Amino acid sequence: MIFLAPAFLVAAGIVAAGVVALHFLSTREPDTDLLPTVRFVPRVPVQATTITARFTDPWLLVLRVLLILLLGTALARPLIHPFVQPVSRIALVDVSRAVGSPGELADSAGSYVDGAAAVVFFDAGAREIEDGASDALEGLRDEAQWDRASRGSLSTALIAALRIASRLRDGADSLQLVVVSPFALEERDAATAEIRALWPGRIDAVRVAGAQQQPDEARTAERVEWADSGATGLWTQRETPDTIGGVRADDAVMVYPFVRRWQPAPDALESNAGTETAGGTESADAGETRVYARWMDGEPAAFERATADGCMRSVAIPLPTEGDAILRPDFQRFLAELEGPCGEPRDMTPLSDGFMAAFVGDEPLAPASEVPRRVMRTTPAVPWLLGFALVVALAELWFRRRLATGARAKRADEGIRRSRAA
Amino acid sequence: MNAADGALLDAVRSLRWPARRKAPAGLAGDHRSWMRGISAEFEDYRAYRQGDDIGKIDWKLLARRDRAYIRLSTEQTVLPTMVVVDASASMAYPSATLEKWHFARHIAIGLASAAHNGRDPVGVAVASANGDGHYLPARNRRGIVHQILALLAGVAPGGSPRLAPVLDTVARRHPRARIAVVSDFLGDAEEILKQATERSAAGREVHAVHVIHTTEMSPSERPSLVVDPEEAQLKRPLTEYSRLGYIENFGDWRERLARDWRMAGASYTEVVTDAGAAQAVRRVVVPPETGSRA
Repeated sequence: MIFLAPAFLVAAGIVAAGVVALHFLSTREPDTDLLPTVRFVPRVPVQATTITARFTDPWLLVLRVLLILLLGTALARPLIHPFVQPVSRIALVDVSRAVGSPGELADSAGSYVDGAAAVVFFDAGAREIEDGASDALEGLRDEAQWDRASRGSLSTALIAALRIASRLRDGADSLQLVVVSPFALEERDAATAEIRALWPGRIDAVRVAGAQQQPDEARTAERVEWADSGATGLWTQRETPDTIGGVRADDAVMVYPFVRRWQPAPDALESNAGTETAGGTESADAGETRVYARWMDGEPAAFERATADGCMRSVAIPLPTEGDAILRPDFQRFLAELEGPCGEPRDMTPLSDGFMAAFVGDEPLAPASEVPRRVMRTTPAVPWLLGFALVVALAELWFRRRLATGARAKRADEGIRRSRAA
Repeated sequence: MNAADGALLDAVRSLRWPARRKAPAGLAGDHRSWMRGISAEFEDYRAYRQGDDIGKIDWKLLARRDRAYIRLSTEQTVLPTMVVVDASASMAYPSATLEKWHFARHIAIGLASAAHNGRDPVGVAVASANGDGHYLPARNRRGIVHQILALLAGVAPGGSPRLAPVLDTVARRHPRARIAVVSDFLGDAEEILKQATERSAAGREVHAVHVIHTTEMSPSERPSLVVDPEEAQLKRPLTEYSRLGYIENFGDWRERLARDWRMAGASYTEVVTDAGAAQAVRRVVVPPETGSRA
């Protein structure tokens, strides 16, 4: 058992020690003596505190110490593992359009999926298969289930693996990460290398056959129209223009204090039928409208609509009119992106051996201790501990009242006996 | 009679209790002497008035002055003394030794003995919880002191008897007697003082003997819960802090009590149990300005 916040346990121990020490202090009514001139004694509380050599109210002490320790243990968030296994495996299975043969994928991934602590299917997004991973893998053999429009993202997959590793770290000594993928060029983005560096060990890469590159998929943009032209119903004018710090189109980012005067029309978004990729753009079938560029707050800044001969891009990004922004390299890159080919580029070229070597790495398996622990507000044991603490608190209250009632009755009896004797 | 009683009687054997007040001056011959054969001491002459006893005329002075004068003299007369003793529960302190009660009892006996030594009739009345069976009228017979001693020995202090009715009864039965009240004045002190004021204003000699136990003057420093023996519900904690307050309050009350009794025209003597009973008796019977005398 480990504690996520052991400081609370130490504090609970200190408080419990203090309570034990307090129970050596006896606060009770002192011995009774007769004094005829008692009326001249000033009125003060009828209690005297003395230090005794043994515990007073031992059962009350037990309940109080138990209550404090239960609360301290609950706040310390214990994590109980029946056992820790040597290696826990995380299997990432690529189910994007880059996979050439689903059957081969299922065959290659089967041995890694069986016995894995976690299985993740990834394409543009990543989803963990909690139950029936093997059955789900078998289901991939059916071509009809494949979303050939979905582009894979190694960055997304690695992020999912890191999150799962934080959850599994306390139940294993080492973590094995297995990636079953064709490792196509389009699945890598600018953040992939940095995210890979967060994994503290070796990655086992299982390469499967990739999809064939389609040579004529790239289409050029037919035209670019601006929002203030009103040529399309994709934009409505804002009542109050605001400013935004930048805009992004795929990997091209432009930082500038843009003044936004246009906002997407409601029906422009409803016509979109694609799924969002990690690059912020969306894939769309011909005729569909997809978001081509977004402002930094996520609002669409440009749409791309497929046409018979290519595509049309409707842009609500005002051109900078002051300063040398249009001369900056990031603007030139952004402008080139706007004029780039229609649709998402598809590049099924396999990643280079050099990239793969760096991706796999030569370290041993990732030690679980080096994986950051997931921040957990509670652990499974906390509600039980708090429940027990509540029961003990009620018991302490009942016991304390019972002691007080008994003491009062005893004093009343003594008073009656004394008055009768007088 | 135990050894302490005997020692007390021996200590006060030669003690007398002189009256502190003279009998009011009046017509000659109105106050009859109780004792036969006592010679009158010449005090003064007064012109003869119609109605005076002719036997009192000084004939020699008449021959010299050709005018009749009568002789005035101070007549030795007896002064009955009644000792009223408080036997309430507050006098039964400490409960194990009853030291306060025995001290009060000895004072009463000592006062009775001093009065009897001056050939004054003496009696005792006890305010006790078990009725009025403890009463001896003032007598001058031999052995009266031992009778008083025996009566007091049979008294068990307790309860909350009121002293004022006993004082009133004594005063009515003995109109001219000197009254000594031996008590701790923790009961009906106001009523007692009121009666004493009335009797003193009427010319009677009244003495208040305030009996205090040593522990009441300075209670133990051990923290305890003290209870009134006459009122069980009255209990107060006696701590280091409250002890100082108690000593101050008790002292203030004793000062007020002394002042009130003296303003009433009575004598007030405070006696503490750590002093000897004989010494306490001597302080009562001997006026402060004359010092002690046998």
